Amino acid sequence: MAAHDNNLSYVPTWCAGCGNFGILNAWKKAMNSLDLDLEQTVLVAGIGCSSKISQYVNTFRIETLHGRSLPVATGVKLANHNLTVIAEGGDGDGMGLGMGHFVHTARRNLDIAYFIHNNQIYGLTKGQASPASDLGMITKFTPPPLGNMERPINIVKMALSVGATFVARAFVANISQLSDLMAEAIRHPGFAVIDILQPCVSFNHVNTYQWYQQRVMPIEKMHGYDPDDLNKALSLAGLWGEQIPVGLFYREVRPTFNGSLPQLTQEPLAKQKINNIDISKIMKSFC
Amino acid sequence: MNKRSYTCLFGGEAGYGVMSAGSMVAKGANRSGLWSYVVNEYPSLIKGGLNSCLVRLSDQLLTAYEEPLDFLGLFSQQAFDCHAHQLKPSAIVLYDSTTVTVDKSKVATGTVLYPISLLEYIPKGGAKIMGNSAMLGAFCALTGYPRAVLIEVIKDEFHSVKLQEENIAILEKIYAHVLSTLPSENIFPLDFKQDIQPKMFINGNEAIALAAIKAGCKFSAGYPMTPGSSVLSYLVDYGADHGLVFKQAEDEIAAINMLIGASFTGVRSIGSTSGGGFSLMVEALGFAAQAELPIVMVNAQRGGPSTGLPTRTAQADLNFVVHASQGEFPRIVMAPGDIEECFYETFRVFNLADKYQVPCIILTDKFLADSSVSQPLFVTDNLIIQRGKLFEQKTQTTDHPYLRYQITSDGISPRAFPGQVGGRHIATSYTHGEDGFYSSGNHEYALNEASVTVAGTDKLYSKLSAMEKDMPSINIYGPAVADLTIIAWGSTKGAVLEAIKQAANQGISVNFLQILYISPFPTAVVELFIQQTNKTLLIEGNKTGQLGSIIRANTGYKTDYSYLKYNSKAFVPSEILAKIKEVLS
Repeated sequence: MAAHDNNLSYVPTWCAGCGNFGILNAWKKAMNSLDLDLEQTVLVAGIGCSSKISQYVNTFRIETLHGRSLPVATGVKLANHNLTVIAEGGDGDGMGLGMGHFVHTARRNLDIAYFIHNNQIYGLTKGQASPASDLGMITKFTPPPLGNMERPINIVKMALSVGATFVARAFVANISQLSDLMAEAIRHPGFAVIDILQPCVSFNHVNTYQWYQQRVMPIEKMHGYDPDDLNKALSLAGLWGEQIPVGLFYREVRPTFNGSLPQLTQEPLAKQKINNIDISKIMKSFC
Repeated sequence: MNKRSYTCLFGGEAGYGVMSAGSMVAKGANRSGLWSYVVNEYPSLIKGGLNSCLVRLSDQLLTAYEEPLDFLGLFSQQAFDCHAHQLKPSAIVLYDSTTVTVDKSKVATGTVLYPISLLEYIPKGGAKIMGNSAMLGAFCALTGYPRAVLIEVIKDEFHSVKLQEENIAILEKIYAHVLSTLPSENIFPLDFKQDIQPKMFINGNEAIALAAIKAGCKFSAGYPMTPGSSVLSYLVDYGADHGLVFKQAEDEIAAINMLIGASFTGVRSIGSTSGGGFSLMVEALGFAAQAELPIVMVNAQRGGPSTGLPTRTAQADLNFVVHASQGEFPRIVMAPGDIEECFYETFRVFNLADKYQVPCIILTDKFLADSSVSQPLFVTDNLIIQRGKLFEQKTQTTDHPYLRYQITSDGISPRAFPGQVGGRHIATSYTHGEDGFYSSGNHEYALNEASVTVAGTDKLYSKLSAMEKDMPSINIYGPAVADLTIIAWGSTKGAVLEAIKQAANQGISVNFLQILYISPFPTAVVELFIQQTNKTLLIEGNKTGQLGSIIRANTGYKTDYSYLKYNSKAFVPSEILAKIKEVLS
């Protein structure tokens, strides 16, 4: 019998008005719409405010180290490819410590959905610049007059450049679009990335709900946009400022790493019998 | 009884196949009732430099090598300059006359010098690596090593019939020529006979990989680092047939986290690296401990600190691996002393990892990882997989939901794996309650954070009493009571065993305490044993006597003498015997 009960009684510790509440709601909505068996689902989170989502949903979950959700998710998926694997974390977790893993997981096109809660700030450590903070942003570690001196990472552009096969951006205030994209990402056979724009009400006083609301521009309303065209997607991804496109940028079906390994065409590794393995043939090869 | 042994060394620039020349000589001897111990030395470069392969042969089991040479085969001047001092008085020196000039003042008067242009025997267009077949042909003629034995080995080594024939032709041609120049045929000092019991020719890393496959390990991830990564290549070569997946990771941090992910699904997983890679893995080691997700990690030590000596041996990571990562948690550190322990104890470590849900470290070194020895086939009948406590659905009710980190009398809570009905839970790197929920600052644990913190730490440490009874932490060799007790760990074992045998033959009373499982430290058994000792001699491959400091920290006992070697070379029996005599004089 498949398990769909997705409510735990734990009380989130997010600030009132935090964007993570909206992401949590969209998350549950997506699971319901997919009718996912939550006992066959693993959420792998990093560390940070966003990663606390792993404490509040009712799947199998691992709350890993800061920045390391993707390699742990990789291990889960390769060890049991029948599981639905979702990785999740913040912009700091994923684009700071986790950047190397992000690039390589995308190259591999592992069948993992990766949701990045992007509030352009370090929230849990109380307000330092993140790799996605805008130029000039004043934070605890980037004081005036210069503020943040480093160009922000554009997560969508990054994901497209390194080979993610499903790339989208959503704004948390539009829960139904976000949950639809989450469901699509999970269904997508390959590495699916969603850059989720999410205000931090306590430490990011620039990129507020209102700030995003004034800028988001639904891609679906652009006539003739084709999410199969990588060059168009890259060009659209370059747009960040007065207008911020949200929706599906790109989708491509390419062989997945896990789907291409001969060892994983049959039973998952986790289901293999390990008693009485015969190594006599290997021993003879040493004689 | 003194064993008869014969030692030869093949040396030259990388590319001439000196390693394969040595291993073919050893393999041939293995199949002919003899025993071999082969030590490869190579610098961290691809071409040039000096590679050497020392082959010690005997009619009895060998546990160590010695440096004095009966035969030296040379492809380069550097090989002569670096190894001439090892020649025994009547040794044979075979050298390529076009590349090597022998300074006769550097060799004893009785030395047999045999220059020959080895490379001339390679047919036009042939690869220079075929020089090793020329070397072997001349070697057979000069030493009496039966060439028929080597020809059989060559047939097995080369899959291509053309290559087999070419190499055999070179060997035969040079053999005939060299023989024609000698006054009489030589007789090899050891007897070759048909061997009834097959023996493997295997090194430490291969034995560990083989044990992992036998233990049902299905996942490995790693990043190349000498001398640890050959465990991974062997898993690639031999594991796929058994369904094992190896994933090359972007770095060691990714590698260990992948292992932890696989462990969460219930799959046994192993990684292998050296000190530098292990350093990168340290944070995740603590994560594995906190989340109680068992993993097995090999650290094949090399010279350090930092990049250090990539291809040379050392035993200087002990304190590091015993203490690595922030906070406090139990871990298992097993330091195999020989090939058998690499195999049997690695198998055991997989069981211990599952039973106690702790990170496990197999601490070897370049010398053990890379040296190949004759080894009878491993006996696998009694190797039983033990998975420890696993979650069963029937134990869970609405009133008693599954608690992944349930407090139990032995500290061990049943594991549930994704896909198991009723087994959903969170595994976390945070300090947590029995339910896995982060226990600091939140509503649920607001009133009992302190007690939950204590309970969580005590839970991890309450595993120790069962764990300690479950591991054969020490081995004692030699008489129960002796004038001198040697205390050592890891690859030093083989040299100590040969040294104490030689000492016994000379009427010197020495025994040997090997510490096999260094963490958790077997305090009780070590204390008990130390009470019966007279003088003690600590032998370690590091500067500071790291095992000595661990013994002192745990028991208060300070060893009487130390023999610490950190010149990038492994211990040899003769040096240990000299040290024994020195401290007893």
